[in-house]
Amino acid sequence: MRTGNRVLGLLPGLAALLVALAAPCDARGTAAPNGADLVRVGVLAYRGSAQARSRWAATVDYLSHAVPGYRFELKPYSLDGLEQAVARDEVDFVLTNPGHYVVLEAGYGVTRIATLRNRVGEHVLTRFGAVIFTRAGASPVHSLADLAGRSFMAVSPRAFGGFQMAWLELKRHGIDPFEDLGDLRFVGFPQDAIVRAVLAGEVDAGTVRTDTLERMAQEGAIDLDAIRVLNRRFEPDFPFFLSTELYPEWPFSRSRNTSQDLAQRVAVALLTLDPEAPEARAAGTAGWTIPLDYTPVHALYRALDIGPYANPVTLADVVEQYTPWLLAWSLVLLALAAATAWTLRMNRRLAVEVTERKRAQQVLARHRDLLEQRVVERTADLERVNRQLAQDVAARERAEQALRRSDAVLKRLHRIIGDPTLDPAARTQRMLEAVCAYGELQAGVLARVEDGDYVVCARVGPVPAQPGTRWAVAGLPAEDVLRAGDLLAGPVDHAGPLGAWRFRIGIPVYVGDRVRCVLEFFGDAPALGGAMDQDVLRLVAQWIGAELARSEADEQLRRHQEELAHVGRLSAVGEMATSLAHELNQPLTAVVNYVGGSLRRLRAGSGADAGVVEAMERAMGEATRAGRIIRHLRDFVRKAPDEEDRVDVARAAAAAVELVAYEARRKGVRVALEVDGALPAVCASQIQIEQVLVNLLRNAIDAAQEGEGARVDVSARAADGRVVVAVRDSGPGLPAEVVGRLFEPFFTTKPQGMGMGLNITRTIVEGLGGRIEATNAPGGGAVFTVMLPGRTDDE
Amino acid sequence: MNEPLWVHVVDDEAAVRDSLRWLLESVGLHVRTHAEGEAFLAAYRPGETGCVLLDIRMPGLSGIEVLERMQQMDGEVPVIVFTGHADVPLAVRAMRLGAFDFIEKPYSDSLLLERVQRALGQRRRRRERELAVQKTREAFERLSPRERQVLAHVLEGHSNKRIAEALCLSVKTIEVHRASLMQKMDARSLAELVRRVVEAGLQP
Repeated sequence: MRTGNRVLGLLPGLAALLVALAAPCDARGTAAPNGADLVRVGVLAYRGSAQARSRWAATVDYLSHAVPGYRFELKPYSLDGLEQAVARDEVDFVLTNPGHYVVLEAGYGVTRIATLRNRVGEHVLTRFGAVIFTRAGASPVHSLADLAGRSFMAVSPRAFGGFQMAWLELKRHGIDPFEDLGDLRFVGFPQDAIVRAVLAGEVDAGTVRTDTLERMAQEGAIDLDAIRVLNRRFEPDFPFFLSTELYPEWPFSRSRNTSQDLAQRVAVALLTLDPEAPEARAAGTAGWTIPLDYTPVHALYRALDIGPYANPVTLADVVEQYTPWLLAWSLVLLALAAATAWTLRMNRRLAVEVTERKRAQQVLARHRDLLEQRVVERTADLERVNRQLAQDVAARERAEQALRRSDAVLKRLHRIIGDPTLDPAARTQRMLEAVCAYGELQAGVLARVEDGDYVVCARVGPVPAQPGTRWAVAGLPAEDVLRAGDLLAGPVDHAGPLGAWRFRIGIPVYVGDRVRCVLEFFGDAPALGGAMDQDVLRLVAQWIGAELARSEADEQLRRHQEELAHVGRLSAVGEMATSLAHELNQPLTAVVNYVGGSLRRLRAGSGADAGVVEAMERAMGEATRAGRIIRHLRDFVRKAPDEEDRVDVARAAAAAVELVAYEARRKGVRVALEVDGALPAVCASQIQIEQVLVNLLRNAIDAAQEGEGARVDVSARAADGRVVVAVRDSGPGLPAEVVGRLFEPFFTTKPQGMGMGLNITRTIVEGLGGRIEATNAPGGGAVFTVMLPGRTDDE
Repeated sequence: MNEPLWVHVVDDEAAVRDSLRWLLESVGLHVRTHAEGEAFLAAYRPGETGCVLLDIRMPGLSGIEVLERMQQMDGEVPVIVFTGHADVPLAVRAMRLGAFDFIEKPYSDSLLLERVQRALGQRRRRRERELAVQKTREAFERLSPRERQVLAHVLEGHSNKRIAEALCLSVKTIEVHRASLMQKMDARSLAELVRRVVEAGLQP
């Protein structure tokens, strides 16, 4: 029967749709009541204006777009506000719940033009209902009839899905929610609160719109197994828990004065809205469908005597129906009636009053019990909270005390780390002392772990181990720490070479992901037990690890630079090989000549000639010179330069000039060295200074070779405690595009250069705390200036 | 023959110059040393020079340039060039410019002396030949017109009798002229006379 009604109900909608599609759009002039082309869409804002706007604004904007010539405006209203607006013709279209729609339809001629396709998860539904439910398990409520005297929660008396549907269902099962329930509470939106209240046991049962439970379960807010659905019904193609009949979804309706034409165009626009369009999704819908049959809603209101059917027509009906009976009896009892009427009325009133009072007393008693129970519970709660608070305060005081101590030690450690006057060893030593003091420990040891050996690096307190002492790790307390790879604290039960201690705490020191050292502290009382203490210790271990990592990285960089400089020297010597061979040939040739000449004289018997002695002396001098060149070369290409010390730059410059002398001669370049007064010593190695100058000199010789009057002038002078060495050539000078890149690695202008010379030169100079500059001299040619800090005398 | 032939040493390095003089003088050679090419060329007298020891790498005028200038003056003086290791291209250039030999530094003293002696030997032989030709020409100038006529016939291989017939002189007179010219030309035999005239390129 209901199905038949619905089919019949569809027909006007279909007809309207067909008319809408077929109708020519020429009726525009009569549209837009109440001024220009503004069209107002009144929307039921059951959860506030903002929520209504955010849900429907896109749909209303869509209409403005889809129905040209009209500007649609969204106007949110409450239930009463919307009814008043409709009554005053202040809205052209109405979007409200089915129950409210029926009221407006009956009262103000509002007509539906489309029905919402509701999107619930993957489902698209055009009908909905209500679910009445209680908690599963302990609840004694198993059917709607069991709800008599129970507490019940719903949205509001006027909520269609949030109460009225359930109301009808309860009524059908003999329960008048306003009479027979123990407690009926209306809590408004959102409906989730009702579900939570039921599950929390605050009320025995409640009702919400269908799909509310499933949505909350999906959100993880509730467990559906904890719910018992009352009066469960099953409808085809309806996937949710349901306790009531199904009713059509929200309708979009036109008010009575809205033109047919505009209504049709709006209907077409709504029906053609793509279910997947953002406008549809924003509203949580899958678009709109042809208007459904709202007869079930009417039936509900009629059954409940509310809404449009709220008039007290029942008494009149009864009177009409039983007129003959009433007439007969009224004649017979007319006399009696007058006498007894007052009594009867009084009696009935009394009975009603007694019943009501009884019920009120019951309710009162229940409330009193509840109240007492609440007071007891609350008192217990407060006591528990009080105890907890006392404990918390104590714990907090302890924590604060620990915090103050660790704050003090952290500050001390920070000062140690930030002290630039401390070298890494002193820094480590101070850190160990700080931790010992902090943890009231007697001794501390930092040991390097090498090939299973334990090599003491630093120690504090009475530990019988000088730094450098080496033991096998096996058997030492450190063994456990290394095996665990993490902090270990506890008693020590054996006396090792580190002394007989009762307690120790040890932590490995990582560099990268490798354990490089182990840090241990010893004492006769357990200390550093707390988490905060251990954090302090971990921090110290991390700092020491970082210090080690940094010094290893520094060492690696230094080694790398040294190797690079060595390669630079080797390559410079290699490039100068021919020149250097000549440099050696000269004295060797002279030696051969002197010795050969002398031998011949001696053999010829003229050995007494004083000339032979002088020639032999000269030969000796030349041989020594050759030896010096070789020694010098060997020093120059030796891998590790001498320890840095006081270097006389003038001497180093002379040596450098000597090394490049033959090359200069070969290339026809004159090299002159001029030292201006006494120079302060420079903290460097002789080889470093020579390498810098040899590199600069060789470049200068190559540059000078290109020009006339080829010469290179080296000058050294003191300025502001620094030594300034300038190498100037008579070449063409530096092209502007080259100046900025001169010191880059692999930058070269020479066809056979590696491009490392100047880069190495700068690395050396900067490593010595100096600076190097390249400029063009005013008179032409390039000038390379090296500035090195001089050693101060007190060093 | 007894006038000294000078050995010139041109090297910019004082120790090398000084030591070379010491070595060369130990075998009785006469040595003059020069620190640079210009100074050497200024003092250079080809006729008095036995050989030149020239360093090929020098500031100022290079060894190669010195060689070129010497060629323009007189190519007969042998030049020994000092080169360094791997200076082969320079050595080749020097040889093309007529250098007698090249020696790499450092060398063994005896090798150097041997080369110098060889150069001097060549220089002396050439010089002796020059002197002989000069002597022959001088002698030829001293011959009388009649003696030159006789010489021409002698070189033709004619007998005294035939020369006498040709010159309408007596055989005896021819014999006197012939003896005189042999003496003037310092020739002990006919063969020697012929060689001297041919060597000197004379056309009596």
